[in-house]
Amino acid sequence: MDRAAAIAAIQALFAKYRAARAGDIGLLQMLSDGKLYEMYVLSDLVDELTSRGFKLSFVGTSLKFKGSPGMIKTTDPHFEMKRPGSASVDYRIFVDIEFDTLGQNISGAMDDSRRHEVDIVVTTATSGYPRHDEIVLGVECKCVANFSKALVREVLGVRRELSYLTNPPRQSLLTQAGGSPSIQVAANPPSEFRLAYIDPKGMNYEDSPRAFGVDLKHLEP
Amino acid sequence: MDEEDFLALIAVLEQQFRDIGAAELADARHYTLRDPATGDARLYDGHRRLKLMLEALGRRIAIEDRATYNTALARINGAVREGGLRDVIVEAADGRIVNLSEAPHLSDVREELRRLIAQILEAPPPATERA
Repeated sequence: MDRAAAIAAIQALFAKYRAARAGDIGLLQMLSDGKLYEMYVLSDLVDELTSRGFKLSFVGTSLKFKGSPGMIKTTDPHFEMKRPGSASVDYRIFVDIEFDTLGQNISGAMDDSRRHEVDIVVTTATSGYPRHDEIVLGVECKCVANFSKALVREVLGVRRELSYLTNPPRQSLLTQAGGSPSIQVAANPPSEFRLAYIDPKGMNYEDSPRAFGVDLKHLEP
Repeated sequence: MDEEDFLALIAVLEQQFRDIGAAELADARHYTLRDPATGDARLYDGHRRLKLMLEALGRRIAIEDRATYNTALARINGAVREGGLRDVIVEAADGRIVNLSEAPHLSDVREELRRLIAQILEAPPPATERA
């Protein structure tokens, strides 16, 4: 392929992409904002939790993501989750939730710093803004085409507001609840927290955050 | 193709990124290599940069593709024991509802992009740029 042929091929590709792309500006914006990627990550999480022995059911007919995060409402569609061997609902999975931070718990802060958003949460809470210690697993989803160190700094900040650092690592809350295989996290309370990212370059940033109880998971559709 | 050819292709690609509202994909800072000995960052050669830019485009298209939606929906419904997920909607801040099941079919575009990347990769980088 020479230069002229390559230029023609690139231009033809973009013409095809533009023609096929969503014409609905609102839909295009939500796709660009990563809502479909959130759904993809959620599907991976649901599949993983099932393989770890938890039983999941969906309450509702349409799952609803929100353009801006908010509180838990059990009237919103969500997943219910039972521990292995449990007959009752132990946890619920919600999306686009703000939680009351560890810092708020310590200081009683009432300004805008009292809450942070997590894209996907597994929680014991049933309404309102969950406390930091009511979140047993949280996932941040980043579908930026190019991974940057700023993403790592961001999730380290959220982890700071979920738990204290503790060493040695301890069994995660979901492991204590019977989930298998055993997962250890350097956090108290030992919630699991991860960053799901699309750009494989993120694999170069996994080791240091793990020491603080942050897992990085590469998920690319 | 030589380095000059690859840089010409990158210029075309940058313009296309801007035209689709994805100028961030053209940002040269994303396509640098840091020398572990000196700590200095330098741009990848044109061959490598072009490949990385096209792969970034591929990820962008993947998160807009109906096939991604269908894969995720099937995986969720395969995992839950009770209740089925019919579709997934997004409520915008202004209250408008968007249904992700209406995402466009982009599998053909993704396949064409994969072919293009393979064809460009067939062209070896200029000897001075190989490391």
